[in-house]
Amino acid sequence: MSGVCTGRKGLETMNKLDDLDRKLLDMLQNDFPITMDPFQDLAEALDTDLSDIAERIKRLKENGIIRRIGAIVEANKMGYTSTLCACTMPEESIDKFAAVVNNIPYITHNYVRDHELNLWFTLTTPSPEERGRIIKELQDQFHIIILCMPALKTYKIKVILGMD
Amino acid sequence: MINMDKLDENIIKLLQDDLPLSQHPYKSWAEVQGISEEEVVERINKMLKNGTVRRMGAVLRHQKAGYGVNAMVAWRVDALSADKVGAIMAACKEISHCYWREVLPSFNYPLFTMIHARSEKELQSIIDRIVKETEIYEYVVLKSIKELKKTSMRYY
Repeated sequence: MSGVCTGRKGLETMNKLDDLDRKLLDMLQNDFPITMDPFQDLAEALDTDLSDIAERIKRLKENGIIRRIGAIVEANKMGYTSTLCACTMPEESIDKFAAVVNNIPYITHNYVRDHELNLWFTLTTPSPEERGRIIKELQDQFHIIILCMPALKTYKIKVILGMD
Repeated sequence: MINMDKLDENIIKLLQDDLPLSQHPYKSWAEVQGISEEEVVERINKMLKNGTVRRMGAVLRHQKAGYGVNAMVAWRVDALSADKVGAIMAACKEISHCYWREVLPSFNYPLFTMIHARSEKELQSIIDRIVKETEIYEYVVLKSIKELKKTSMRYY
């Protein structure tokens, strides 16, 4: 998904949700059952039936609120190393950079931000060597200096968007 | 790195996609793998416990979910105060990520937070509250102007 980050559209989509949709979104994020039949268990917990739950989730995916339902995997435990990167990119090169980045699977997040360092992305690689190689290639191709800011300590990582 | 066998790998492969929206969603997959549904669930629980899987469940799109203002806010905190300030930040429900990062003198704001708000006004009030609680007054707000890429990492 790309585009200008405006909140209005999101608020309109959210305003159409009923209480059960909101409760379902909270449970899908916080209390997804780790069972053989998770959607049935969600239906029971929310006092409804499976077809209602399935229909609601289908709709929430169609209108884009739910990106996916699955596992959020910890990169470090998979032996990967991750870093935040930033650079100052001339306005006219941003589209080209975005296109290049779209073909690099190890870059998962890429944002234009309102700062002198205007381009920020995350790079998660199987090895430090691979990280170095990608950084060097991007620097050479775009004639930029990329700052790498790897995390030394993690105080929190928990993306839960409350529906209250 | 966690010692993973082929079956764990295959489960990660399955769960990095979207889980089928059906009754017993692991059943047909388990049959193909030649294992039981119970074993799939057991393995997922094991990977949640050892931290390979951080969370199971829905991943939402911030903007569509009503959180239109998403800012990276980086704070100038000295290394000795990092743990104390980090703990305060971590307790804040509007903050999803908080890291102490290696930075260069040219960008000396080593404590990074991601803050999700429904409006500019809400973002500012969250920042004001954090300033008051942490007494950290030097920070830079890096609002996202454009999302160029946002995907989940694929490991296999």
